[in-house]
Amino acid sequence: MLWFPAVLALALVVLPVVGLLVRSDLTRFPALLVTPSSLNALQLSVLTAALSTVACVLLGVPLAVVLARSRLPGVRLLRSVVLLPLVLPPVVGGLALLYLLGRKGFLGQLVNWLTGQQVPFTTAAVVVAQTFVAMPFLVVSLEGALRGSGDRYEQVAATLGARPWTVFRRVTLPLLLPALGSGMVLSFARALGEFGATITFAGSLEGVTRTLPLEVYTQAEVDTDSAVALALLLIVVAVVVIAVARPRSWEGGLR
Amino acid sequence: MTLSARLALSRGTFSLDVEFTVPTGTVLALLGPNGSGKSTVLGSLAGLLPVAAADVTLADRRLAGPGLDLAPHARRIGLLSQDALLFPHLSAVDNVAFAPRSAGQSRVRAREIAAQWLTEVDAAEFAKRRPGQLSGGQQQRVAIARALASAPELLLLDEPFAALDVDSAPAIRGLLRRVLRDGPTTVLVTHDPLDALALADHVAVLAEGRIVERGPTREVLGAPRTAFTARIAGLNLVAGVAVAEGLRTASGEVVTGLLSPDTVLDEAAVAVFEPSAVAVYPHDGAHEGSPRNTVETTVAGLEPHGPVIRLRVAGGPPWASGLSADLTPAAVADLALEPGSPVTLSVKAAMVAVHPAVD
Repeated sequence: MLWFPAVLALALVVLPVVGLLVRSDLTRFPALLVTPSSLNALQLSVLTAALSTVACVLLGVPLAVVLARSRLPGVRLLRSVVLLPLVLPPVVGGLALLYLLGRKGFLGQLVNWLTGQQVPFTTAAVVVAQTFVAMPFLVVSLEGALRGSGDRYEQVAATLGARPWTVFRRVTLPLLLPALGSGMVLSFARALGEFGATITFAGSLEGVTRTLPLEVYTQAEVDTDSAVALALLLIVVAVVVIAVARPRSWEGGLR
Repeated sequence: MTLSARLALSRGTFSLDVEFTVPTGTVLALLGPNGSGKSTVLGSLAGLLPVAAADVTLADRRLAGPGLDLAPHARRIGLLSQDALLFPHLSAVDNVAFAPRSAGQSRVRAREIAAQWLTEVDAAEFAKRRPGQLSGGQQQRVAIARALASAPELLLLDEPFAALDVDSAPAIRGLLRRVLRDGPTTVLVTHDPLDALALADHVAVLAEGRIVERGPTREVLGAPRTAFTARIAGLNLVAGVAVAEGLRTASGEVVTGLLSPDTVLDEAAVAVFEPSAVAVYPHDGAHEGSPRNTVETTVAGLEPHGPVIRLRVAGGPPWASGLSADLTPAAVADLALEPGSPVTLSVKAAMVAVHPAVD
């Protein structure tokens, strides 16, 4: 009796894409996509998503290792805090970022005093917003792998005379690579699709903060055909990302 | 590098409090059932487990003591566990080269050292393979090479044969015997008395976190002084030299038995058989039959041992003295056995296993 809701669930995922395909005019596709504003948005999206993936790795890997290995009390609480952006509506996240890094936010004032720059409504703000929403994906995927393998390899490495940094570099990190790969794919995909936090915190300025999803939203109000074409482009990019680096944990459990 | 250690810790209802010394170059076996605290002792020695009170000295280096707790990487202690735990992302040779690399050797020099150790454990042919392409026994060989390549001053072996199948365990046991002969001071943790016989000079029997009995391996295992040791290791042991038919004792008699695969002819060995494998006959001289191993001796003592009566004998040829046999209470009554009764013991050759032993 499970097949009925299962088919329904699949339909819920697939039919909207079909609807988009039916609605679109494939012959006008190239012309619709090769407009300056589309290309700008695509370029900006790929750039910011790549930058925020890098930021996720640089910040998320140490965080995952600390969360998985630390025996301090309070780590369990920290773990749920890290998941916050995952469950928070992105718009709320964007507002929170605005009041932290905005003109009146305490960190924003500090940044302004140090550099003379404002963060909101810049490309940097896009990267911050995307990192905020995407990092939990990386941390969760890494932490699962770390907990699964335990610290037995690290212990052996220590008895072989390796200092903690050597252990991290030569044992922990290489063992994490598969999970790191799938975590990066997930983060990149999440950053690419980010909308709510971006529009609240970074606005929608063409060439500066208007990424593909924001461009789709903008075009939907003026030129529906163009919006549909861009939406399909986003879907293609997402499918390619999943196909190229399919997270292993999606294929019949762990390993 | 003499090791002297005192360790105390408690975790929930379990508490551990042990003190022991292992003289330079010798092997101490910690023998005990699961949950007796054997692995905890090893983890504490390696610095991997927090210990409430520890005092560990290796040669003239203090590893742990009041206000001192050296990190694992600074202890120069090698650890070999039942799972080989080879780093899956490194080839066999790079696994072995890991310790020399960590000690600051160049990549080339570390590989040379690793190649030597792989040859030493007969695993040179696997050098380029990843752990996933090796069998359990092959992995354990590489793990032994890796532990030794760190030139440890103390080697810890945690049930090193437990995860191996019956075919590869004897070969690995033989290999460890060979490398430990001139090897580092070693602490071996095991639940199998045969591992202790094959590798250890001394045995300490561990029960619920305390050492209940200790001494030279053969003495402790052959003539347990506590009921606890008798239960886990109450075996008949006859020392001698391995020969094709079985074992030749110091006084020249041959005990017929089956040689275990890692036995080397003309080297020290021990014939092992269970007390329940010994048949007891009245000493009337009329006994004939298939058992090859028959000896005339005298009952020295009888004591209950679970559901059976364990009989100990004295007298007769030197090797027979101290053997024990298990009988039902009814058999003891039928034979009218009491201390001083002359008896004939016999053991089927198929029940006697000849194992290599430490000299």
